[in-house]
Amino acid sequence: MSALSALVRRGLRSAWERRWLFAVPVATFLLPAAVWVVHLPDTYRASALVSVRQVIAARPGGALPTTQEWRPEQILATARDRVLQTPNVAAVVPLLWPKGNPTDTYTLNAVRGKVLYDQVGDTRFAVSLEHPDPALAAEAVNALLDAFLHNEREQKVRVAEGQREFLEGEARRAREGYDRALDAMEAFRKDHADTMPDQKDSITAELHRIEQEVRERENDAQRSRMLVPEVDKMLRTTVPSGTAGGAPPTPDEVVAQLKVTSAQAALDQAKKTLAELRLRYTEKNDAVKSAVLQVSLLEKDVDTAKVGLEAARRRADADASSRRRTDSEGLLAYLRQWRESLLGEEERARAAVTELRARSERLAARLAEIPSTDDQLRKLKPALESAYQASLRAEDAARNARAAAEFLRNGDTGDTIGFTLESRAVPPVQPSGPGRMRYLATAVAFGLALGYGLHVLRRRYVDDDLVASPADIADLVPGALVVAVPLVGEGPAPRRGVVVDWACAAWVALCLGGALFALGAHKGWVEAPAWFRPWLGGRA
Amino acid sequence: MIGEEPRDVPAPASHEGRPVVPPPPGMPDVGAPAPTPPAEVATPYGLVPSQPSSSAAALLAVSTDGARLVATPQPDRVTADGYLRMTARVLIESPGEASRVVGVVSAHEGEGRTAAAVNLAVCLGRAKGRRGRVLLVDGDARRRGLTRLFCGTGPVAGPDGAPVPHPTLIGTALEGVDLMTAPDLDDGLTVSTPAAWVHTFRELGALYPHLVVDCPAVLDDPEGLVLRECVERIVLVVKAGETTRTAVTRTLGSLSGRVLGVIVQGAHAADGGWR
Repeated sequence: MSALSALVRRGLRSAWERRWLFAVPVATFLLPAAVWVVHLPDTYRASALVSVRQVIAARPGGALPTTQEWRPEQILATARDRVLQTPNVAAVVPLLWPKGNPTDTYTLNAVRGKVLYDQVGDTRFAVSLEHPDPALAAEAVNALLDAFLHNEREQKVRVAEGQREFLEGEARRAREGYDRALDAMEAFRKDHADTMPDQKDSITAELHRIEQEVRERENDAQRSRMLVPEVDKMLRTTVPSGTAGGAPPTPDEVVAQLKVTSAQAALDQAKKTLAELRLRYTEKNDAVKSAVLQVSLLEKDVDTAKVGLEAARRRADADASSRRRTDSEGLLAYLRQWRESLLGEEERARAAVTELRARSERLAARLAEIPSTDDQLRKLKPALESAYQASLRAEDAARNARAAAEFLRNGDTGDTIGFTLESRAVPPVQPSGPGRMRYLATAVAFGLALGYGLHVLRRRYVDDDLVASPADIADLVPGALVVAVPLVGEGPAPRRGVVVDWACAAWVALCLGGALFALGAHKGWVEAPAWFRPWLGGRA
Repeated sequence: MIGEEPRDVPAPASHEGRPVVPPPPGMPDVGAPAPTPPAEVATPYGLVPSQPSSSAAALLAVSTDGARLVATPQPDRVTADGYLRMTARVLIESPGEASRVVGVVSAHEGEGRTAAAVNLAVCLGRAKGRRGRVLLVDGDARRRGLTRLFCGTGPVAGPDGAPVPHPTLIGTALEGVDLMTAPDLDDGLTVSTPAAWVHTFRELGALYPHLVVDCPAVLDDPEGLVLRECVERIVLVVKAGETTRTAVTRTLGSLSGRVLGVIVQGAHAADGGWR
């Protein structure tokens, strides 16, 4: 006999000697477990699949901090806790327990205990729920995931709305700042309306125009003053009517003569002014150019006046008549009136010159203040520009935030919150539980564990003190010969042992038979009696 | 009764005019009444031992009811080897011609002590050619196991038919084995004195080189405690799976040095470590 076979035989004998120590607990656990498992109703597991992907959200505004978006594995790592949050679970309570309190912690935990979460691959997870009613199981899973997606979206929308409100407030403040800058600019422009830099050219041109007009007025005054002696001379030379003498000039001749004289005087004055300007400015100066042009025009006027004078004299020679001679009184009156008008014109010209000079002085003063105003304006413009740019940026950010919030509110869940409900739960056809074999195996395991525990206790507290072999007693009798002999000629087995054997065998047979009967009745292998049928579970 | 004045062990009846013990009713074959011994083998006490029979060569066991000795015609090698080794140990520990009183003790009743004592006596008796006959002493006055096995429950009838009081020496059919029956007790409460047992053993030791004393259970009978102190050597009998080490320790007390050997009934030497 080899050592292995001896070991096997010894093990078998040991197991046989302890057969009831293990068989009785196993059978005792197995019977109630079998009766219980056949009573359990069938359960159906409804599952829904959700995919996860990373959502890259752009910052709506530069004023907001940068947020680190989660990777898919991070989302999956926290998805179970997010799915089982209280608001989501509370949506399932009315389905599973219509009279349950959705705010009760124990009820919520009971729902959490029924929800199964399984990760599928790297980017998907499944949410399942077992219930005797397959339709209710599917409905509960869908309600849970709908609530989950809704709450996730609401959470994102709340964040986006917060950003939007913040950025809109920023935009409003930026706009108010820009308005204040604009008001300050307007007030400044109003306060410095006469000295704004953009008026520099117009003021300069006005000054030139006034200078020219002053010169014209002065020329007019000068011409009028120069015509007065001529008129006085003509008054002195004009013979009253009926008196002897040569024929007096006709009024046309007088007027033409006066025009020539006046034009000549104006030309002389212009030439004088031109000479003065050339002493001060170059030929490119506008005043010099204007004076040169004026001189040329006056020269043409003089020539024109002389031509007119010649024509008047020819008409007078050709039309010499007595009537003309009898009009000398009228001529005198006319000359006197003209002289008065010349004096008046001179006076008005000088008054106009005075007024124009005053105005010129005011314009010069305004022109002198323009650099200061320009400096102040240069200081105001950057602030206005900065406020304008800030307002534009804030408006842009607020517009983006509004768009982001709107997108989160109405966009696809996969694009907004990263979760996509790939397949909704449908009522399952085949039952998924209960794991009756698992329960039975557990009962067997419990029985074996109890038997082993009894075996250990027996070894520790009973068997260890028993003498079972010579080795157990050798240390008590040192030096003595210890021999082992079988019980010679022992009679039949003790009655107590037989009774125990039969009792244990009967109990084990009863338990195993009962368990097999219960399982067979559940499977339909045997006809269950009427009293046992209500106990059998199955489809709810 | 323990604590009362112990009663002296009654001296066995003289061999003079001693009748041959008739077989009690129900006596097994091996215990058949001994025929009249030849004169040349007469003992100093005049006891005529029984002639050995073929069945007496076997090892013996006590029947379940304790009333019969059952022969094991073909004892297994392990059993025979165990008793032979124990016999050899007794002989080795008994040098010279000095008598040796070997007490077979156990902690409790029912551990196979009587059968072990008979078998040990049988094995020693077969060595009589070298050491002389062996006297098997029934020291259990209450249970009277050996006496009942060999003489039945009634009084022993002498050669003249008159009853002989216990204790007495009778011859047995076992080869080289005589038996001293247990004394009759006036009541169940008396306990013998050690001095009486020592005196009796000394007197019997002059006649038998070996005395095998079937002692009462030490932990069940105070007589066992007395006899445990009186014997020279002890053979302890334990029953595997029933006797505890604590009981063994209490049984031996401080006399573990006198233990010649231990017979473990119901155990296999080869399976000593299966637990």
